[in-house]
Amino acid sequence: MQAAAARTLDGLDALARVGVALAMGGMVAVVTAQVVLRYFFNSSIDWAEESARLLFVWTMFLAIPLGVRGGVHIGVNMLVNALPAALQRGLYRFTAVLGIGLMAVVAWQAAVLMPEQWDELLPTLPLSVGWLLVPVFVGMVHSALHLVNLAVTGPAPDTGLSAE
Amino acid sequence: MSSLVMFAFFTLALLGMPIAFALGMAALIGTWYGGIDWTMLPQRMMYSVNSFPLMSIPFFMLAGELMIKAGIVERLIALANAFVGNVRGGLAHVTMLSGAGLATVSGAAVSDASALSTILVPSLTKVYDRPFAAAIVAAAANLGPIIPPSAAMIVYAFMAGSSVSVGGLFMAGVVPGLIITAGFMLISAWTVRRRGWPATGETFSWRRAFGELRRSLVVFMMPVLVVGGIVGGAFTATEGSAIAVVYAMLIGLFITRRLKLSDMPGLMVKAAITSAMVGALIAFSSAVTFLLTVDLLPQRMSELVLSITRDPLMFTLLVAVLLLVIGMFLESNAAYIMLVPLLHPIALQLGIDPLHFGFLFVLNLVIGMLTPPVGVVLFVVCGITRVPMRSLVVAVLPYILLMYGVLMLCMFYPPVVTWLPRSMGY
Repeated sequence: MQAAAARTLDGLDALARVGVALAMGGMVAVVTAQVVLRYFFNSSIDWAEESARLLFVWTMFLAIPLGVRGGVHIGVNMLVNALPAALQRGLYRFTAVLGIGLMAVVAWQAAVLMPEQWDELLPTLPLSVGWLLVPVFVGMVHSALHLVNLAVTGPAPDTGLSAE
Repeated sequence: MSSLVMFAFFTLALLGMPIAFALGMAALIGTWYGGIDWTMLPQRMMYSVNSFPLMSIPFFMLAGELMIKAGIVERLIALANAFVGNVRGGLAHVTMLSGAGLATVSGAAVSDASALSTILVPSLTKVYDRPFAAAIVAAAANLGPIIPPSAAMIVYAFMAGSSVSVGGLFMAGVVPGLIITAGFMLISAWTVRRRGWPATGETFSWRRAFGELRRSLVVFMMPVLVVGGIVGGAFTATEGSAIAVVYAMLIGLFITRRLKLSDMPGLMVKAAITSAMVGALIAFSSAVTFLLTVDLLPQRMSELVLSITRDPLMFTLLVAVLLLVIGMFLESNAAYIMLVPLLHPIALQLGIDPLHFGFLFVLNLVIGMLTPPVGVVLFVVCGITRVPMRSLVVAVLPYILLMYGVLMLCMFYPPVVTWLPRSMGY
């Protein structure tokens, strides 16, 4: 059961990595093309900034759960480190469960907002504003799954949930 | 409501919850208590990250990673070695100049610390003891966020709003950055002389120096093109950072030929994950900032501070003390995101030059990256060099004191900071 869950998470992480790489590549390409067109062809792309921002939102929210896995989200561990190991583990699980609750609420609220805003279009792109909320939903659900995993298995060696 | 939000945040942060998530939980509790619709949370989070200027953070991080992968650190070391390798303390000077050179293409101390430690420490420890070798690498890496481009300055300018331009803040860091580099070299020379370590390196030759200079020209063209373009108004900081990525990629693929196209996805993901740490802080803190603004906390805080002092210098000194303490315990990005929206408006109200205040703020927190117990650069260097934290802290202390000396100089003599940006029209 745990092995299957770990494989599923690995698969989701691999998908998120592909998404992040594509979004980052897209951002670099669009922003650079805008500068090149402006200086060498005296032209510009109307939708360049908006599409780059959309890709940036996707990049950030897809990368947040990868950061949860890698333990890059920094915290203050001085007080916790002074506590007995059993209490440290208990606190770790407690904060992970709180984190799951937080991610669940934000994902739920993003899901509530999406249909409400789906008919609204982005100013320069033929896309719904909802596409800005989809990564929030996906990122929060993915983060919650990682936090469930961490609450069950505990932090990976040398990569606690908190980096400090 | 503000008190409850702050109490919840500090309690959860002290219990070890990642700061970004502790901010999110505090916002969740605050919205529940204040009867505010929870849909505010995803909306605020999404709009706070939906920002064109913020995009420059992953771009500069990616450009730095690409340059390191392309092998530019080795070129910088060879160049510095050709000029100062033969003098006493030469290797320490090579480290400092390589750190300053790397700072002109990378905007973050952590990646610089990792690159410099991995590449330089094996050579340094053949001549110097391990704590000193680790200390000079840590000090050199800390030049990263001071000399432009700088991710820290981008975050500050973003949080401060329209009163601070990224280009102006970049330029504000140039003169203090050069003073700190020179000071670091003097401290290293003095330490090497006092400890009696021998001079190393080959004898200086103009031919070799010019050869290395020619080889390194491609590296130095990047800050000229990118920072010059941003400062000169040819493009925005974000456009400049995207050009830095393309430039670094071209250097790695066609000039040094150390970069492969297959390296690109991995480096992009690495830069994105590091940036997502800042992104998560900004996203979750935006909900907290909204609640505190609804509760008029910035105004109340401003009234409180102004009832204590209306003297700009006294206020700057108080902020420096606050940041000195906070910088010891809180990661710098969290400090920018939480404190800039509260303190920057008060500085403006007191008539303090926004670039001057902004640079002092950044320098203060950059020094915090080198001070225990939460000095992130110390952690990286300790991790790679295997030098015990206590030994590293002792060895790095003179460099920290020098940085505080320069901070005081900048505080009491603002032209050190403001002369260059003002003379460039900022």
